[in-house]
Amino acid sequence: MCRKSTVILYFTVSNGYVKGENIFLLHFYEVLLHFTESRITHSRRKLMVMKKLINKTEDIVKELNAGLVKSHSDIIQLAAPDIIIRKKPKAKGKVWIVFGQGAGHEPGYNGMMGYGMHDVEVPGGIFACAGGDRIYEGIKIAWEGSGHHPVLLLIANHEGDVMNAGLALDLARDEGIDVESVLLYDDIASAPKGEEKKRRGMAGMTFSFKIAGAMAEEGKKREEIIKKVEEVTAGTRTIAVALKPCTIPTTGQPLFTLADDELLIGPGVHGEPGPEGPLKMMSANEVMDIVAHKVLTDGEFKNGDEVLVHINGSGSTTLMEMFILYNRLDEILTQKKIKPFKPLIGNYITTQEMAGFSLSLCRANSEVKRLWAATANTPYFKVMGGME
Amino acid sequence: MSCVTGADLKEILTRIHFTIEEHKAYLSKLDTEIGDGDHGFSIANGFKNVHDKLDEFGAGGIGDLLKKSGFEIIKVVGGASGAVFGTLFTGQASYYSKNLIGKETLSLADLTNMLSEALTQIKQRGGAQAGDKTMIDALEPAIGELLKAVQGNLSFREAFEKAAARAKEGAENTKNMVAKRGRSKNVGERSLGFIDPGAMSTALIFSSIADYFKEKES
Repeated sequence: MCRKSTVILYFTVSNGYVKGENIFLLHFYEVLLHFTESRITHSRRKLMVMKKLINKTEDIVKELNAGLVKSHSDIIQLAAPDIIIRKKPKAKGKVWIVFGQGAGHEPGYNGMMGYGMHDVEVPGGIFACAGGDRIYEGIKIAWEGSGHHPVLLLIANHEGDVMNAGLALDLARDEGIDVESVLLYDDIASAPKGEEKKRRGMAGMTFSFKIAGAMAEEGKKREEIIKKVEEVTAGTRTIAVALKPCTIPTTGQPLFTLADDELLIGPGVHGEPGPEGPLKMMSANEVMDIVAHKVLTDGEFKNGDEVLVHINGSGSTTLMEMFILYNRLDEILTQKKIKPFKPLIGNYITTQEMAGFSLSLCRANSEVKRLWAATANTPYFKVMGGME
Repeated sequence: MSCVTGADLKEILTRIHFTIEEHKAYLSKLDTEIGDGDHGFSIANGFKNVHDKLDEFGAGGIGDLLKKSGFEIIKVVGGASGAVFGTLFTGQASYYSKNLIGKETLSLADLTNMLSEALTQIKQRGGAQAGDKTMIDALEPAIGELLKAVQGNLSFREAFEKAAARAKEGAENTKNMVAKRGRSKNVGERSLGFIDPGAMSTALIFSSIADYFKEKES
């Protein structure tokens, strides 16, 4: 059987990485592997080979945007090669919502825009926020499209996103565009309690997107939307777990290294290492016990609370694993008399083929629940309205 | 030489492109230690695009050259690096358009003032200060050296030789700092012992400029 399907090769002598394009070298290792296979079971060195179906690295973003839009042409379209808008625009006189971010997290959030979510998406490079000038273009499109109605820019709390958003806001306001922004943050691993606004934006942002999108669709005023989104963000807590790194598509290099018997608690959505070192691999229940405890404690969720729940897969973790994780979480919540409402489970904000997940909880009252359950029609996040 | 022209700046930008291109794998490696590992490749891509468009950008004079180069970097690089390194040029352009408009030859004092304004704007944009383990830890000491050079009436060559040395030293000093800004702040104490890739890029930019003047004045 051909060994070309081997993604991770175990090998004793090399300490380097085999680059994806270096096919000759790869074959050499494979041939060598055939001869040494029986003797390498105890080897410790890991060779990672990037194995992705891409063309030229510089074309990744352009081609993924094009493919996404072509395959969902009933919902989204390109306004420019790097700006995506809704196919059927939101009515004039309603708040248009703009978001700029890095690519490589599909379907979040370029595949989660449309009715009930956001209107203009400005994807940047892989893991790098779109430039401020591009986000400014996105804001301009919303301003024109809405008939000069106040525009809302959502900002994920990552330095690059914040800086480029700041640049975009300056450029837009210089032109007299009425745009305000709201900062989204939720990752408890990135800053201590009491410094919530320094925390990174992670998969828990989906709650804020959904609530903002639903309110905008209902024709609510921008200031009212901002107030509610700030409230939802302040009530959201997320923490991530990584089991295996991904390779960065543009460099072919792994994002970080982790031994086969280790996992990491608290990495970022780009796989940035967390503040704690790696832990020994553990079972689904054990890991859920740890992360649920962290999230529940930090968010001060208590007996009688209702919560929105999101278990987000980071790319290669299976739904099977996520359901096992949710099963444990549900037991924990039941025991603490905290009531989950319409959990969202699956791969949404991904980090390529990274293995792992994040757990997000958001404090919910009846209004938040209603908005979470309101209709949304996007390529990869659909909600049939109603909360029966 | 007593002044620089737009043509000099274009040659400097070309040299920066080649230097960063040469070191991009190294810079990305630094970034992998404490960030997401793309710094070298993305910043190299930015300067390559600037280089490819130099003729177009240079047609409108010095201010236009710097502004368009900065926006090209913001657009192509994206992320925090794009905003910061783009502002390194748009910041200079905004000083130029306020104080030096129409002037097609710049003294060392002019260039130093332009870079100082860029530093101020970078600090405003990102909220970082010296000691936070960012590119500012290379940029600020380098500009400090240029200010001294202006006072001491040094030549461009002498000034940038000293500035480049200080930038390199500043970059290496980031090893001893705990990151407080940028993605590397997420690793906290574990960032100790690693050089900040943005600071190293800044040092490489200054060494490119120093090399240019060295060649030009020899």
